[in-house]
Parts: sequence; C-alpha cells; structure tokens
Amino acid sequence: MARLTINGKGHDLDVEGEMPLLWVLRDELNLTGTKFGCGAGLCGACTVTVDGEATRSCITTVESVEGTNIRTIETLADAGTLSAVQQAWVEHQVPQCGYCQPGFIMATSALLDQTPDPSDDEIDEALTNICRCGTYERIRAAVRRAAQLKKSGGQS
Amino acid sequence: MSKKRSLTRRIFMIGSASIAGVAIAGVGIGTGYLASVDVDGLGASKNDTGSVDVTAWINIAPDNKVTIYVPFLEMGQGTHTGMGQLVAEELGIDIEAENVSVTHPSRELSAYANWTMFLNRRPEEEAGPVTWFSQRAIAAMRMVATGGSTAIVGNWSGVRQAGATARELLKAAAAQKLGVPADKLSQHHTEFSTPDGAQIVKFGDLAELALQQTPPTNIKLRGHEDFTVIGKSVPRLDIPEKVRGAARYGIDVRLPDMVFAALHQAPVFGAKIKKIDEGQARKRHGIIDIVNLETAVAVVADNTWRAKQAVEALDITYEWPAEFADSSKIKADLKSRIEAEDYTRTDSRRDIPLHFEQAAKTIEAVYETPYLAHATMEPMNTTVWWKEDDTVEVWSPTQSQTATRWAAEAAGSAKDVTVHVTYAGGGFGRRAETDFAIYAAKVAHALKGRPVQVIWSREEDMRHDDYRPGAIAKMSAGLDAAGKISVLKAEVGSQSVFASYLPRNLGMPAPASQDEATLEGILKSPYLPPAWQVSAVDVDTSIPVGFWRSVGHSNNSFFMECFADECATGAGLDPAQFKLANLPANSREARVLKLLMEKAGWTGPLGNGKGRGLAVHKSFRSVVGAVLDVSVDDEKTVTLEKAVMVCDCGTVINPRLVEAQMQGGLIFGLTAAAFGEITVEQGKVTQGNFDEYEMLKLASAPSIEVHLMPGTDLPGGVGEPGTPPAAPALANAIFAATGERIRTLPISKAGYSIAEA
Repeated sequence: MARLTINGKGHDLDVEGEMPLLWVLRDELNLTGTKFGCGAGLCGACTVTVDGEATRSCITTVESVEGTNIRTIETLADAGTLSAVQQAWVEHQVPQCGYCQPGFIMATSALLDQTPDPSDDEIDEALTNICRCGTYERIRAAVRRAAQLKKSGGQS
Repeated sequence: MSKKRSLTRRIFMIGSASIAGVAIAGVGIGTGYLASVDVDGLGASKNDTGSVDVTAWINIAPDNKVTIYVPFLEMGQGTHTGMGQLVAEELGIDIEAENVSVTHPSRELSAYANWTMFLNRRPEEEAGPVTWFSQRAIAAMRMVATGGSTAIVGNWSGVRQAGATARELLKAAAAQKLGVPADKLSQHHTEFSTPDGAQIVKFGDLAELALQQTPPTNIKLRGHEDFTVIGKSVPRLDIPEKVRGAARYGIDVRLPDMVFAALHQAPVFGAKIKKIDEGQARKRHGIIDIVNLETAVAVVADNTWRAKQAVEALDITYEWPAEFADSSKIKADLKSRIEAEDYTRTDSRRDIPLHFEQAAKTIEAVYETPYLAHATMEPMNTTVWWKEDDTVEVWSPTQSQTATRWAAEAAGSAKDVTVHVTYAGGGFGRRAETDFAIYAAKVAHALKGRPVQVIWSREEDMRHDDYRPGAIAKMSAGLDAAGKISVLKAEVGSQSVFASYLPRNLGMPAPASQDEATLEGILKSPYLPPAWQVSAVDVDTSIPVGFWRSVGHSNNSFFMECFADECATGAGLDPAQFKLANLPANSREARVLKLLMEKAGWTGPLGNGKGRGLAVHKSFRSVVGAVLDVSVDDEKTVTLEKAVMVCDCGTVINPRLVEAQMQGGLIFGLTAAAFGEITVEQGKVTQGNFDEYEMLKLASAPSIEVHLMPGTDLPGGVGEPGTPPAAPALANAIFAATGERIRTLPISKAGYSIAEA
C-alpha cells in the first residue's frame, strides 16, 4: 500500500513501492496526460512536479514520493483557465504531435516558479526533454512569453 | 485470404508503371461495378447517430454542431486543421467557432481512399480512362491511409467541392423552409437569414431537409482572390486539448475492464519463439495471461509496469533463422555490387563513357548513409476489444486504417471490425506498418471479451522498427571547361522499401524490379545533363525497412546536394553560383535557390571557423531549400547557429503550419545527420534507447527562419519535404567551415559532435 498526494488529493493505492510513479498515474488513476516515452528518464515526456521540482516520473518510484505534493498536467489549468505556460504554448502554437508537450509544460512551469526570468542557458539546462517534431524554436519563444505573462500577474 | 485481400493484391501497385496494371485490374473487376463506386462522396445521408452527413466530409447535428471528417492521421503535421480549412472555405463557416470540430471518421468510405498516394497521381493531373479505372479500383478497396504528404494534394479539389456542395444543399433547404429564393439568402457561419434579417435558420434545423435536395452540378469553386480561410494561419484546432494533457493518443485509450500487455519480440530478425519457460510469472501480482505470438511473447496484466516486469522475467528459447543480418556486411555487399555493376535497374541517356572522356574534369565520390529508426515519441501501441460475439473494435494511432482492419480480420474469425484512429505521438512513416496492430489483435483474440492495450517499450520500438534503409552511392560527373556538368552518373545501392513493405503489410509480392524509392530525387533531378546514367543495386536481407519521413529522398538529397557541392569546388566556383548555373533557369529549384540566396544574404564564404551549407531539393511536389550556418571549433564541435529555409509548396493553405513543418522537418533531418545510426550485428539491433540513439535537443537546435514562395499553383506536400535538405546542408556547412568533406553519415563517424549552445 502506498499513500500519494496527487493534484492536492490523497490516494491510497495497492501498488508495489518500486512501481514507477508514471504507471500509477496512467494505469491506476487514469491520469493519462503524463506520457510514457522511454522508461529511462531520457526524454522527459513523463515529467511531473514533485514538491515543485520537475521530476521524470518513469524513473521515480512510488515509495520515494510518499508524503510529497505531486502535480500533473491535468490540474495546471485552474478551473478551466489555462496557466501562463499553457497560454504561451497556445499563443506560439507550439505543439505539433503534442505528445512530449505535457512534459515540456511541466518542466517549464517548475523552471519559471524558481527562476522567473531565465537566461537562455538556464532554459537550455532546464528543458532537456526531447521533441521529435522539432518544436524547439517555438518552445523557446513560448518560455519567454510565459515568463512575461507570469510577471504581469497571470498564474503559474 | 479473403476475397478483398486478393483483390487488393491485384490492384495495389505503386509507381508510375503500375497505372496500366491497375486499369486492367479495374476492367477485370467490372466497369459497371466500378461506375457505382462513390469516389466523390457528395451525397447526403442519415448518420446512425441521428445526425446527417451532408457529403462524406461534413456532419450536421440537430444542435447545430458541425463535424468535419478528416480521414488522415493527425500525427503532428496539422492535417486536421489544414483539411478542415478546405472544407470551411467552401462551406462558408468559421472553423474556429465553438460549434465546429474535426474528427477522424471510423467509417472507411470510398471517397476517403488515398489513391493519390497509392498511384502517385494528383487528381487534377489527367482525367482519361486509365485514371478513371485506377481511381475506382483503389476506391473500391477503400484503402484509407495517410502518407506520402498527400492529404491536401489528393483532396484539394474534391474536398472543396464537397464543402461547396454541402453549402448549396443546406441553402436549398433553407430556401424551401423560409420560402425565399436561395439566391436572396445570406449566410453567416452556420445560419442563413432572409434579406430583411427577420428570419434565421440554422444548419442544425436544415440537415434533414438537405437530404431531400438534389446536389447541384457545376458549382464554381472560389478563386484564390476570394479565399478567406485558405491561406490564413488558422490556429491548430488540436492545440487547446494538447496543452491541457487532454488529447487522447493511442496509449491513452481507456475502456471499462481494460488490461495492459507488454511485449517481448524475438531479438533477432527472422527468429521465432520456440519455448517459453514461464517460471513463477503467472503468480506475480496482477498478471492475467501470457500469450505466445510466434515471433513475440505478450504478458497481460492489470498494469503496464507489472506486465513489463513479468515479460522480462520469462525464460525464452528461440528458433534462430538460417542467416543473421549484419549491417556492415550489407554495406560491403552493396559496395562490391556497385563495383561489379550488378544493377537491378539502370536508366541512361547518350554515350556515358564518351562524355566522360570528353570532360574537362571528372569528379567522383562515394557516400554512405546508415539505417535509421523512426523513434516516434509515442511508442508503438494498439488497443483491441475482441468481443464475445466476434465483433472487434480497434483503437490505433495508425497511418493505415484499412490495412489495420485487415490485420484484425486476419487475427481470428472476426466479423465487423471497426478501427478508431486516435491522435498519434509522431508517425514519420512508422505507423504505416501493421505489426503493432497485428500483435494487439492476436492478444485480444486470445483474451476474448476483455479490451487490451499492447504497448511496446522504447527498446522494443527501437529494435523492431521498419528502418530507413542505409544506402551507398557512387557519384561521378564530368565538367566542361565552363564548369557545367556535362555528364552525371549515380550508382545507388540500397534495400528496396517496397519489396520489404508490401509482403509484410499487405500480403503482396515484392515488385518485380527495384522501385523508384531507391532513386527518387536523383532519377528526375534537374541537375541531370543530357548525358546521364542512374543505376540501382539491391541487397537481400532480413532487416525490415519502411517509409521514413521523405523515404528515398532522405538518402538521395544527401548524395546529390553534397556531390553538387563537391563539383562546385572542383570547378572552382561558389556552390550557390554553381548550382544556379547547372539548374534549368526556369526550374522551381532555381527560383527557390535565388530567393534563398537573397533571404540568407548569400555572399560566399564566412571564414573564422564558420561555414554555410546549402541544399535545395524537390520532393512530394514541393521544393525546399536551406542554408545552414555553423561554427566548428578545434575539437570538431559543431554549433548549429542558424538556418534559413525557402519552401515552394504551391498554394499555401496555412502558412504557420507550413512553417512548423519546415522547421520540424529540418530538425528531423539534422538529428539523423548528427547522431542517427542503427547498426545490426548478429541479427540484432544494437541501439535500444535515446542514450544510444540520440536526439537533437533545445540547447542544440538552431533558429530556423522560413520563407514561403508566394504562388497559386496546385498545392504540394509539406510533411516530408523539409527533411531532405538537412543532411546535405549540414555536411556542406562543415566543409565550408573546415575543408573536410563528410561523405558518411552520421557526422559523428568523422569525429564531429554537436554543441549544446
């Protein structure tokens, strides 16, 4: 048994402690916004935040995140209103296939919470996810725009 | 084999030489029958949901919701939005309005058959009896499929015609309902109003009545000057749900009582499962079943991770094939066959040896490219619910809807198979295959009554792909005293994609002669002088190869555009000037090159460890050019600084979508050129995950500026043509910066790495 707090809600789960968080989210809780890409922490499609830190859920065991606050893409929008990062992603028309984008959006959200005005280097360091469609140029522009939106009073 | 399959076997042939064959097959099927095939889908009919299909492309519900049917897989290329724009233009609706949506239809209609892709013919090209038979023969089979950058190309006229027909049917219904002549009515989005504005009637109230109207003939479609939706950067319709994490990909399908399966395929190409020692696997937590699939084993569980843990714990014995494929041996074979001139096909004009003798200078170079994996972000998967009564539902991110249905039908005594096509996390040609659907259908058949989602691990996906074939090209040219190419010889060795794809996916024999995919981009190259020879050699191997974004062009653009660069150096000329001098002055390639030189500010060498590389290549009816700027340090670290692209794809439907495809296509090609290599040793693929098969990331990606050539020609493809210029632009840029020619990809083989800015 494990007890996890996901998107502000407590869940008692009958899962092995070594099960990666990704599969709890996807297969036990049907939170399918978090994607499976590599299973080895290499691509970032499975990125969620754990106590505000961008975390690759495919290599993060359930037992290691008990007692933390886990947040997934599903609740980033507050009562239907897109977060600043999501808004910027729409404005810059970032996604193509879109499969990797929840991971990018979560990683960007964590980055901007900690570094409201990141430099190019800081963006490069924080966003090591893979996008096979090659949306990188729009991602960079959208990160900048999200920082701006956040500063001007939008939510995270 | 069912009747339908054998019929397909007869008609499914690819390449220009096949048209006559298809037409003969068409005559065999019967002219009368073919005449009854509804290739246009312009009629209106009642949908079983209580709504009305006003043509095959548009559904109108009583609550005034308009659904546009787009029978092409949305895998990132933006086809739902672009195709939707074609419909909206003529239907006269606001595609961004809340009551409008786009969906991939589960029904396979003849009107959706992608005969443009299968026959490599654009509907507007000719309208003779051969086309009539070919089109109807394909349409009779339905053959709903996505590929070859053909959605817009194949439906440019037909879908606008459908939009216009639907508009006229609805307008006639409104006229009848309001008692006002149709030409007096005004349309505002999804409603019509009387001239005084007093009476308004909505599409939703007219759909039933539209059924009784006669479709008008000879509707004049809007001209370019009147377009209000086509040519606009309409925001992608799928983005809101994609940024919320709400878009449903194949892997996100969830059904009541659904279970998950992990797969382990025999690790060697051609190997089979001989024996499975299950050990304690069935006793593990959550394990439901273990299914032997002959070439793979699936473990079914209540959770994907549990399934994967269990499949890895199995002790499996294999039956090995007679021969073990080896990619370095294949290369050696291709090389020696080129040397022996052991061609599978050869085309030539004039006396080649004589022209080489007369040349002022001859240039020769041998190029090599590796096998490549597709590595879509969403690994292969399919969900199948094989019900107790043998009706089957399939949910799959597939480019081959119809072939997927056949695959399910062939997995057991299925009746009434429906294939629901989901969003796909990338496709790039990988999802034209049926392997992932076949495995899922077999597991579901074994599990009858319970829906099962079969998901491949990244390693399974990488090691059991249908790869872009590696290739070798020996290029030779003679230049005259003025530096013009007087004779060109290209000898290309590569596995045939069609010979691998057709038997594997459609139960059809391999084509009798080497297909044009091996030579596409060279065979009709505008660089070909009056004297030329283009030859192919093939190799027989068990490595499965398939369609990889831009297919043969991905190899041949590298050979052709790098070789042209080498010829320029040989002639002592600037590469851009040399190419301009050797391209026909009025060619689309020359026009793109000129605009590219202007936009990139092409003024010759950059110096100081910096270099610019140039490539222009036509594929899928579009011409794309790229200039890439790099800097290279003493450690051979390459910084991708900036790219400028020019795209001539004829009429542009959605500029921002085209820009995205150009940028993405270039990144896709640069990724491959920088890192991509699949090697096969002892029949096994070496690379397993993204640490061994690397991807370009944000820190390394160049900025990419895209310019679209204005024009009103018929639209060309955009999903694939951005990729071919990438590799030659990179290799040419490195030469410009360092003086070192890279003739073997990826560039890492020559010691180059990519800087993380």
